[in-house]
Amino acid sequence: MPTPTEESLLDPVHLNRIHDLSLLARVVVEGAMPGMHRSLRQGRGTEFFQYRSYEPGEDLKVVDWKVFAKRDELVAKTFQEDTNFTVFIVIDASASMGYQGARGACPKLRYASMLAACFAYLASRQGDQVGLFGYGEETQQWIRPGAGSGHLQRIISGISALEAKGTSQHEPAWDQLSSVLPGRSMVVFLSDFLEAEETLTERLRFSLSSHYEALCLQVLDPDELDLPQAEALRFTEMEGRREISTSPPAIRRDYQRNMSGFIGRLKNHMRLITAEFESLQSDQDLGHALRRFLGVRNRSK
Amino acid sequence: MIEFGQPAALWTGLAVGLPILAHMAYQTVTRKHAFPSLRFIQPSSIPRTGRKTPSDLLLLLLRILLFLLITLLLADPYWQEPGSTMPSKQENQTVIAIDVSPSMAGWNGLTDAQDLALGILNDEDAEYGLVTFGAGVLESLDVGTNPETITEKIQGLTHDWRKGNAQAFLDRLPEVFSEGAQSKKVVILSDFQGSDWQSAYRDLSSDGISFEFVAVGADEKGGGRSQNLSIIEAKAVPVGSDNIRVWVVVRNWQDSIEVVDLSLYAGGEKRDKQSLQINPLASAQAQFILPAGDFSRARVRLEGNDDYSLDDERSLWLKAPPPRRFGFWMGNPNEEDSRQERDFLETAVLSAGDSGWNRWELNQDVADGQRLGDRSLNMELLFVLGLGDWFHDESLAENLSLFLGDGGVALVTPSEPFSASVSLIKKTNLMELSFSKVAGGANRSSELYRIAALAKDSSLNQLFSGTSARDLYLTSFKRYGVLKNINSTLGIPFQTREGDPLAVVREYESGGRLVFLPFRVNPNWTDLPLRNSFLPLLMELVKKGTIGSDSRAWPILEPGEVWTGTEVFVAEQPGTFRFEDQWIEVAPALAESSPEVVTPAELDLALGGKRESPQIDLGKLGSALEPRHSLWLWFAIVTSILLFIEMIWCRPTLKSLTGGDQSNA
Repeated sequence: MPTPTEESLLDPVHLNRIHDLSLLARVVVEGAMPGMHRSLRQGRGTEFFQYRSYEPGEDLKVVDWKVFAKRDELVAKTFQEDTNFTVFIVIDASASMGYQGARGACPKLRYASMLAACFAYLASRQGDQVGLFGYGEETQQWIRPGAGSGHLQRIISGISALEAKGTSQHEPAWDQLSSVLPGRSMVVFLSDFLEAEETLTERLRFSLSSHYEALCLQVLDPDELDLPQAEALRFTEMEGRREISTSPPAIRRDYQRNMSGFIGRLKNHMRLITAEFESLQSDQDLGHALRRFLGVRNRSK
Repeated sequence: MIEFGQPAALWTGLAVGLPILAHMAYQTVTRKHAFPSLRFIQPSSIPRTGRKTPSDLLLLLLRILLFLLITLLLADPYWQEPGSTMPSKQENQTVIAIDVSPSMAGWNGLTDAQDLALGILNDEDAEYGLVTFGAGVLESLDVGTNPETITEKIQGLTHDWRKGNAQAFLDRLPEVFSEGAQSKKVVILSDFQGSDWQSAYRDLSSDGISFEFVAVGADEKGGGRSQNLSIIEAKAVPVGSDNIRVWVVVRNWQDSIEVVDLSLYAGGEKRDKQSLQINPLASAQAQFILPAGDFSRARVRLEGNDDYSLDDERSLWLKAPPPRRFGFWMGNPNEEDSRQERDFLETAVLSAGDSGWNRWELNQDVADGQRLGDRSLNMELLFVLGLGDWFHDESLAENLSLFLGDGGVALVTPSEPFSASVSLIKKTNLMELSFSKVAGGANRSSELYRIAALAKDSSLNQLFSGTSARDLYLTSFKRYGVLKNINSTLGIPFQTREGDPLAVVREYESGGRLVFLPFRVNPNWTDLPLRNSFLPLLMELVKKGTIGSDSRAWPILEPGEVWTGTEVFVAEQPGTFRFEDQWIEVAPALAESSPEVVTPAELDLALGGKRESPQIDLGKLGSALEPRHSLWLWFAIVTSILLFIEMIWCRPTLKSLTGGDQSNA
């Protein structure tokens, strides 16, 4: 169980106040989840990691002779070991992801972005290469997988630049994505999966072959589970022009039943394509999603 | 008491407002809410918010009140003080102006105007003044005069005989109102007869006067009128020595051929009757013959009735007009040349008239009175014989100029020395000419001078022809003054074969004429007075020029005109009148017979173009006079306050927003 401090560090209400996603990811990963992620592999990688004291008997190749010349002290130079594993983060940034109800901690896209930043940070800390693909009606961000702190910063900047707009165009986006996915990788897909439980899972079936690990996270606002708390509303579609005037209390029960049925069907479809699936609400803390991520990541090793 | 300037707005507001109120009462309030997916959202019945809480009912009442106030606001509410009496000379003043010019006697104009005016006065809540006008403002009763007095005045109105002059009325109109009046208004009831109104103009708005006008006396749908026949001229002229011809001209103003009987009355009986057929918009003449001396006056009358009867009758004198007077101014009556001249001229002039309608009378008393400067005396011809020092000594040049300026005719002969006469004429500005010599002066009998051929287009050439012309050309002049440097404005009726003028004429604008002969009218200078041609030549020279004619008739006046004798005669209504030694005819004002009227558009322009809308409902005239206080501003303020309350009341509350909202991340 996370401590109260850790819990507050995972609360999206509090995290939403931190605008810098890079800082937010570091706060969450380093503060709220110490020890949960695997420590960094040190080895013969190309990315410098840190200095440590030289232990007698070690290969003298690890000694940083320039430091010895300055300080007259033997210091060993360690490097981050490359894992040759790629975490590819895919984010749906269509207009419906911009919704925030009265009970939501933040807009759905913001919630997804916070998660994505944390995933990228965790993956980068473990020496994985991280890629980003964000799309709505068209591709908004496309960053090839890479490693290192500089690349991580690029990934987080790309996440920050996403805007919820347009109608989601899943098929062309996944066509483009499947052609560039590296061979050994894990795909994390953040979306509300609305209106597309069959077509999208069918597209995922073609795009994600057996050697991909897939984690599909559905981000919903609490309003989407049981409708807003209002007497009467004229609902307008965020990705269309339809309007429906209705009384939410009058239809709430049917709506909840239909919505749970929809989520259930989505889970079944995901299971059929061997993808991990989790439905999240935008007022839910990030811990559960992060643990699911680490679980899938560790399993893929 | 609250009244409304635009009461029709109330009905319009009600008609528009009921559906709106129903819509407001039963409307359902739904707030727009963007949502990610409408896939599982179904439409449902929405509860009516108007029935939810008591506050909603109050809101509905508030909106109804708001709508009512807006409707009342559009209806222009004002506060009408009940039973208020208007200080007539301090606040609103309304004057009824009735035209009583002669044309109002026709086409039922005056009757219509009286009925309308009495209808206006029936509104007991209002107070009015009254003005009657024709040749000017004739009578006026101040605003606030007892209505009974005004009613009596209106009922007793009769037409005036003087020709209407709307301009004089308009010029006097501002004086009828008192200066302290808040608003001034005039309601003009007139037939707007063309000759009275066509040249009238005054921008009443510049005087702060609003106006309405009601045209009366129109017998046709378009407002025009035509049914009229008029006697436009009638006069008596002698026929031989025993009879008198009465000559009448009748005008048909209608656009159709009319047949009318014209009768002549004399001695109290109808003496003759003629039937006239008159073409449209044309005239026809009729003549009656009466024995001279049997009757002194006559009356001609169009039988039958037409729409304007004042011009259907005309009275005229059958008596011969008075003789024309002539006289002499001389320096020394006993001087031989002057005496001979006077004898020749007196005989000639007296011979020029007859014993009837064209008589000349020597009246030396009148001539002497003129010599003393009495301009009131009526004399037509003056002979100034032997112009010399006496003329200068008595300062007669001024009196002579006044006589000529009044339309008199003077014939001047020189004295000796001739140069003194010419010098005197030039010095007194009677004529601008000079003198060179006296032809034949050295040898009085050696050479005779003859008259040159008359100019072809001259009046003398038309007068003399055949034997009479031969007699004129045989006339010989022993002596005459040779004139030169004659001003081009002066006329030279005839001259010698040498080209020297034998008469110089100056015409005056008044019709007066000054004739200067450069010779004396006696056998010592010329044989002209001995010849037959002398009389016509003399009368042609002294005939009046531009104004007047030699046809003799009694003075004919229109009502309002004056004739000045020893006293002044003012013509009041048509008829025949004896005044001093004159017989005067007064005829109806001819211009009033025209049926033409001024159009409303022309009137609008003539009166400044700011007419108030026609108040056919005459009761409105009264209510417009009472003091009213507009409530528009108060209604606007209350409406604004209620609108503000309604907006605050209906503002979106936090509770209503709990259904969620969307924002872009």
